[in-house]
Amino acid sequence: MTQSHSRLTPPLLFIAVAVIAAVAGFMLAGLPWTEDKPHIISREAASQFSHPRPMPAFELIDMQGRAFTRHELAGAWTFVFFGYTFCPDICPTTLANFDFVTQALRAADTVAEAGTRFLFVSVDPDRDTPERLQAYVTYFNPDFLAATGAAAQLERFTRAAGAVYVKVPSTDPDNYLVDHSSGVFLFDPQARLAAVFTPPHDPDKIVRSYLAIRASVL
Amino acid sequence: MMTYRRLIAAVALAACTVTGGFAADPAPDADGRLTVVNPYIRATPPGQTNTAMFLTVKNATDRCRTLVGVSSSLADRVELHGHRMENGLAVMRPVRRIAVPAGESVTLRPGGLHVMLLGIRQPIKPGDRAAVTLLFEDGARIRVTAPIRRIRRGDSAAHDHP
Repeated sequence: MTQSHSRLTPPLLFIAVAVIAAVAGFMLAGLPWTEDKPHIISREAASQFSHPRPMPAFELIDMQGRAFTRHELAGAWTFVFFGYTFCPDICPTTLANFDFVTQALRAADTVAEAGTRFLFVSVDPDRDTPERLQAYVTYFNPDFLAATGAAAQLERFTRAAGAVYVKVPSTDPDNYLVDHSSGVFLFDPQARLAAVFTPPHDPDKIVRSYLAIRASVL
Repeated sequence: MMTYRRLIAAVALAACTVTGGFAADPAPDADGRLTVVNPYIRATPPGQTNTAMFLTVKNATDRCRTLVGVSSSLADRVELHGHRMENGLAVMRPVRRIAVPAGESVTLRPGGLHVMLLGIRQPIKPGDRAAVTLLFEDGARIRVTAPIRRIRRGDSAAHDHP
């Protein structure tokens, strides 16, 4: 009896191992039905969404005082940074870095550069008027855009993008800080969130990741 | 690598805080072994009344030295600030002290530790200079003249490892 058992077991074991290996192999290779599952694609300087996320309708005010909606966000690749002009370090550093990004991008791919915008969205509408925003962003780059909006509209847009901001309580109503996401959010020409770039914002790494993201959706 | 460096800085900070109490003789900086290198003040976009100053403190002395304050007639208030990340949120807060361990240096740079100048009294532009005094815990004072300039590629914390 023991002998017949030992003669049968090895083939059974072999078959079991083969089946497990085949299943594991399919899973690793990515079965057709797992490819549709939304996942994060890791880039050097960013996390890309395999399925870009559509934004809900929102209405902000641009630096010329005109409406800035999902419609205006569409039409080009747009890097969006949420901050405020009273921000003493992170915001000017990020804006300066994205000016370097535009220069590096122009050197790497002029077509991509021409189809790319940078939008600064102020999450401090009480202090950041459109005029103030225009003077601020164009100081860093004459082509940079800016917008802000009513609290409810900002909330709607930032929440959909996954950005957060919190006004820090202060005894002085005119002098306060606003904590905000340090990431830069990339929207595709269909106004969908395509990727989030995380600090430190190294211009060369951003350009490489951005070009890879564009190439991946062509 | 940067995390490692921050960890070292954090450990050093703690060490300095502990030994700081034993620093009996407030040595002046006259020996030239506690120095401030490459100070500069970020030129401000139009209408801005806040800005930041960056610099490197080199401590070639044999004990930990702690930067506790900065003064300048350029601004109404001058504070030491640092950033930390909390759930992807950039949180900037005043810090009371910046420890520079013996034989080491600490760099204040865009996106990291900085001297914050609040309420700039007159417009500042690239090419201007401003006098600034750094105050250390042991009473040492270092006066520097910092140029005002725009941020360049390579200044920020993003360029730690070129």
